[in-house]
Order: sequence, then C-alpha cells, then structure tokens
Amino acid sequence: MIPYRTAAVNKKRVSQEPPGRGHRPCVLLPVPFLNPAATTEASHEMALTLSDVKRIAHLARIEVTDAEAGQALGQLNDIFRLIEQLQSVDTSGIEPMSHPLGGSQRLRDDAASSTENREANMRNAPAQQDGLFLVPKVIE
Amino acid sequence: MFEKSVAELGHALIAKEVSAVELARVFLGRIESHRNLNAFLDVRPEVTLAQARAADARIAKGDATPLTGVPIAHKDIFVTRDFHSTASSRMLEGYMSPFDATVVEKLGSAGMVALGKLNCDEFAMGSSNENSHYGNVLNPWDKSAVPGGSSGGSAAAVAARIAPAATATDTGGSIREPAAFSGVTGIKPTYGRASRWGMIAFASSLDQAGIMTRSAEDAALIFNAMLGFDPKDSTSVERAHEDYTRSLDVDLKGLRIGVPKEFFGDGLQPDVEKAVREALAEYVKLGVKLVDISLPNAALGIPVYYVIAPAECSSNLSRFDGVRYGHRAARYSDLIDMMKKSRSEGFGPEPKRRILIGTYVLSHGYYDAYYIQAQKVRRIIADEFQRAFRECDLIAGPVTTSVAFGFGEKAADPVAMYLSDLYTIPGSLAGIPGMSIPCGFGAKSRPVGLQLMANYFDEARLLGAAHRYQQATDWHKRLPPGI
Repeated sequence: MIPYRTAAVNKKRVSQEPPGRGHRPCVLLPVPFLNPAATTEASHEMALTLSDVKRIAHLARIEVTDAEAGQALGQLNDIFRLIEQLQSVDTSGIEPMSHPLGGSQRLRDDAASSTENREANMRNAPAQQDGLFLVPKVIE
Repeated sequence: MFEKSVAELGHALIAKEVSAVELARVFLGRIESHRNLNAFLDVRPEVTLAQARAADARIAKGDATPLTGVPIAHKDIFVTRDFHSTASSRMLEGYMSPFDATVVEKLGSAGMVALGKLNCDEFAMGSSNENSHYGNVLNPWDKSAVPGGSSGGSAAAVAARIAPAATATDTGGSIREPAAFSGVTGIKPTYGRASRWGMIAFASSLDQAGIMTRSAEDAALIFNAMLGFDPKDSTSVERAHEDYTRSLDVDLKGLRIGVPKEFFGDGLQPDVEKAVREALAEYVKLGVKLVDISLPNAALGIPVYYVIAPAECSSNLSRFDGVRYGHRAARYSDLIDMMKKSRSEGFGPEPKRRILIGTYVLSHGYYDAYYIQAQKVRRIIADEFQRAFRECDLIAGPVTTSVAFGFGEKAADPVAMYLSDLYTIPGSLAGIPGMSIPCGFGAKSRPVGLQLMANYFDEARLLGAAHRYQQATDWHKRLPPGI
C-alpha cells in the first residue's frame, strides 16, 4: 500500500530525472483538446479566444486570472500571426527535420548505470517524509 | 592582471608569475566592485579559493593544462554542485544540484577555477536579459542599454573583465546576440559538440553550449577542454578529439566567405551595416574572396523557431510540478491545484507565454499544421545553408539589426523582441557553428558584432578566420568606459 498522503517514487527514476537531464530524447506528445472542430484547414484563419487561452493554460497546468488571460490573448495572437507565415510555404515532399544531425538517436547499452544518490536527490524536495516525496492526497 | 587573456593567464600561471589563488582574489574583487552590473547570481569565495588552491597544487606538481588556474564563470543554466542553479527563475530559487553539468565538470577537470554563476534570461528565454527573476544585467558599455540575452551575464562579465571567460548557451542566438551587444567574442559550436547533460533544458533540438571570451584564440583553447562526446547526452556526437587551435595561424588567402544578401535587407540599421561592411573589407585585405550567396528562406527562421522552441519548452518545463524540486505554492486545494499554483508562481511571464504557445501548437488538430510544418520549413532552411556552403567556406554578416537597445524598449512587445534574433536563428535551426566577434561601434558608441558561420564541425576554420581578423584589428581589445 502507498502510505496515506505520500506517493512512493521509484528510486532509480528519481536519480535519473534532475532538472538538467540532457540524455533523453525530448518526447513531444500532442495533447488532445481544444476546439474539436479545428482542422488543419480551420487553423488558417485561427485567432484565439479568451476561453482558448484558459483551456490551454489548464492543459499546461498554469493558473491564470482573467486579467492575465486577457493580456496573454493579445500577445499570443500577435505571435500566432507571425507563425501563420509558415502556412503559405510549399513543403510537399519535404521530410520534417527533428534534429540537426538527423538519423536515429544513439541508445546506450541496457545496463544499470545510475549512481545511488538518494539523499542528494531528495535534498531539493519541497516536502518529504521518510525518503518519500509528499504530495496532496491523490486517491480518495 | 585582469586585462590578460585566457592564453596569457595560462602562461603566467605555468611560469609561476602569479598563483591561481592570487588570480581568483583579483577576479573575486572585481566581481565585488562591479556588483552594480548584476552579472552574478551566486558567488562563494570559499568554493572558488578551494578550487584555486587545488589548481596551484597541480601546477606545483607539473601536472597543469594550459587552463589550470584560469578563472571562469558559468551561466546559471548549467547545474553545479557548489553553487545555486536557478536558470534565473523563481522556480529554482535556492536549488542545489546533486551533480555538475558535463561542461562544468570538464572545465573543472582541466583545472579552471569557477568564479560563480551568471545571470541570464529565465530558462534562457529572451534577447535582453530583462526576463531574469533576479533583475536586469547592465551593459558595461552603456548602462542604459541591455547586454543582450539570454547569456547577458556572461557577456557583461567578460566585457567588464570581471571574468576572463564565461560559459553560455545558444538556442536561437543567446550567445551571439549578447556577445555582439556587449562587444565580446562568443561562439556556439555545431549542435552535438558540447554535452547538454546538466544544461537546464529549454528546446532540446536547438540548445547548445558555447563560450564567451575576449578573443577567438581563448575560445579555441577552452573548446579543447570543453567539447567532446558524452554518453550521458543522447544527441552528443561521437567524433575523434580535435585541436581547435590548429587553424589559428592558417593564412586566409583564397578563403571564400559567403555574404547572404538577405542579411543586408530592410531593417538592418546603417550603423551596423557600415561596421559589418568594413569588417568584410578587412577580410578582403587578408586575402579572402567574398562571394554573394542567398539564403532565401532565412527570414522564415523566426516563425519556425517560435513553433519549435515553445513546443520543446512546453515539454521540457513540464517537469517543474512542485513535487520533486523547485517552487511549491504555500496554499492549494488538491494535487492539480498545487501544480497549477506552483507553476504559476514559479514561472515568469516569458516561460509561461512559451509554454502556452507550445501546448497549443502541439495540440490535436494543430500538430501537423504548426509543429510538423515548422519542422519541414526547418529542413528547407538547413538545406539552403548546405547549398550555400558549396560556394563558400564560411558565411559572414551582421549578428543583429541594431546595436543594443535600451531597457524597456521591447519588453512589452514579445514579437518585436523575437525579431532581434533574425540573423542568428537560421544557423541555430540548421545546427551549424556560429560566432560573433567585435567589429566596431555604432549608434551611441555601442558595440557591433560580426557574425561568422561555418559548416558542421568546421569550428577550427571558423576560429582561425576570427583569430586572423583579431590580429589585424583591435576592436576586441577595447575596454568599456571606466573599466
């Protein structure tokens, strides 16, 4: 059982995920949401609304006040007007470039390599108990 | 002593004309007397002096490298065991890393002495250093001007001679633009040359570490210790070790430098154009052949960048959730609310803006239209560089459209700020090496930078061309007033 009000986190995972990690490919996942009617075509005349900004902020787990969302709306629409230029470029037959040097990413040998450094890795935890990260209750 | 180059300091140390401890004290003193620049975020004399004592012991044993005992400061994007690592964000205030970034570790292994951590734009997002949670850095040449960004602290520290060299990072121009604005030499290597391990990630397919120094020769010396394969970075390039100083003295006769016409169009200020054209004329005197080239879609680099970089940033910055490290809000109702409030309080306006853009362009229905389309145009731009490099060995042009702008001039208009990187973003998207070297002064006596770019893995030639220019001119030796 997971102790009440705590979430056990796999030790090995902790030591692999400092904020400066650079050894893993950046995983970019599309987030299903937003205007379900939106299609590639619809995006050509896209302008965000206030409720779009709030939905995006919710998905990004950022709290915004109405005033902040209003200010962000104007700036984001300016930025999207800049980005819109890409729509007119003919890219038929061109492979997307995800990485400057191309090819597949190197994989390391499948061998345990993480150093045991639990104490140092836990040192920056905002709340902890008995070597576990404390979080609000997740499961009722 | 503070006016000496890295190469000269290395010689003086080995000849025992000065000790590493004495040097460390000189620069710690200068950091203290130039606090008004706000270049440093964390300075710990006891840590610096301990490293200096170790360097002196190594020199005494006859085990020194050309860099042993030479001080260096690190951009606060590199995590360090002995100094706070904050990315200039409230999110990481007080964060102490359990390990050193590979770049920091390698320079430390060569015996370089760390002076502390340098201010920058929050998570390296910005072109003026105005996005730091810990306040602006001032440009040593003109304290009403921005030093450039995101590596503003690195540029100001080297310009003011409070550090002989400073690490920096470049995602869309964050080494070259501040180097140009602050009148120092700054170089980013080919993507994959410097390890990204321990470099707090912003946009992983673009982020690349580099160096700011007073001269190309110093940059070459430091690259010898700093670059190289790192198994801990999955995009690190496996190549044989090379000596980046090997082409410093190569004659430039017959070298072809391509001049892209798109870099001299509308928007380029006449003062910058004049200094850059004069620099190109100097190269002709050195025997270089200038070649007209075209990078027709280079200007699309900005919209491409402002899709790809925010997309990758929204993914990378999702790790900051208030659970394992970083800021946690004091009050919240449940887990999601804790994450939202922690992120809302911890991130400043620019990271939030980019996270929102990134979340949007990666979302269902927009992913292909924006993200994939941007990756395709990225390839078009990269291919144009390859076509250009069939006609020339290096590419030269301005780094920025204008000299350093004033505080607040662009802060309220993100798009105006984004356009600052017009000439630096294309090279970042391609992943080629690029540098900025001082080439004169423009409006209000503010510095102008010349941008030089090379093809993949051609840093030695790039540094050689910069070095020959610096032997023929003295722009890189000028000191800001009062320094």
